[in-house]
Amino acid sequence: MSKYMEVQTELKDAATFETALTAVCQDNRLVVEKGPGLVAYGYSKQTVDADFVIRKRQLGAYGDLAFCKTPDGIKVIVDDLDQRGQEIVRQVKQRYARTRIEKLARARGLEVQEVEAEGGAIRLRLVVPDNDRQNRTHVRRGR
Amino acid sequence: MARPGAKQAYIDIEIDAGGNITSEVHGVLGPGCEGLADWVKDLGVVTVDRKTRDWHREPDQEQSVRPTARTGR
Repeated sequence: MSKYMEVQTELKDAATFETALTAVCQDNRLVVEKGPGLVAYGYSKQTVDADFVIRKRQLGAYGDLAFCKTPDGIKVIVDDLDQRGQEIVRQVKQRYARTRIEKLARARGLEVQEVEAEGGAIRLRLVVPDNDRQNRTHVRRGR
Repeated sequence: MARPGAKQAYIDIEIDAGGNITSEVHGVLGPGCEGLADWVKDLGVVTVDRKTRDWHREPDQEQSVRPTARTGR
């Protein structure tokens, strides 16, 4: 191994985020409302404008789980005490990270292999398919 | 980027249940590994970015077919 990195995922790409959120909601049998112009309700009648909302009654939560598009990416609004909402956010981030990595890796000509997962983690191996060919063509796209 | 004759180059990625990512570059000696995995940084906030022993090795050190004279011995 020559280099090791740890990265805290940020939801920067709106299209990938929406794909991830939709998939997680399907897996958890949750209905997500899609805006723009939605109003999310927090604890004690607080409100916030949002682009995606999962209503609190589905989560058994104190407030709605909301996501807002911003110039810097997706802003998450979840009550600190809502464990179910926070679990959904973790699942969305994991799905987002996987989708984004696979897309970016393939765009760079890397072959994506799934390795055995454990403990709720996802393991991928991104292989440079052919060193000689890689050196000649630099990048292979569209795989 | 990997050179011909080098070991198979790959990046091992782990995404934990909270969506946090770890990446390890294998099979590439020297600074060449930087370009292979730098794009992972764009996925969020980098909390650890560490070069390991292989990063400081020259790619040709593994191949004994080139008796390059080395200085400082």
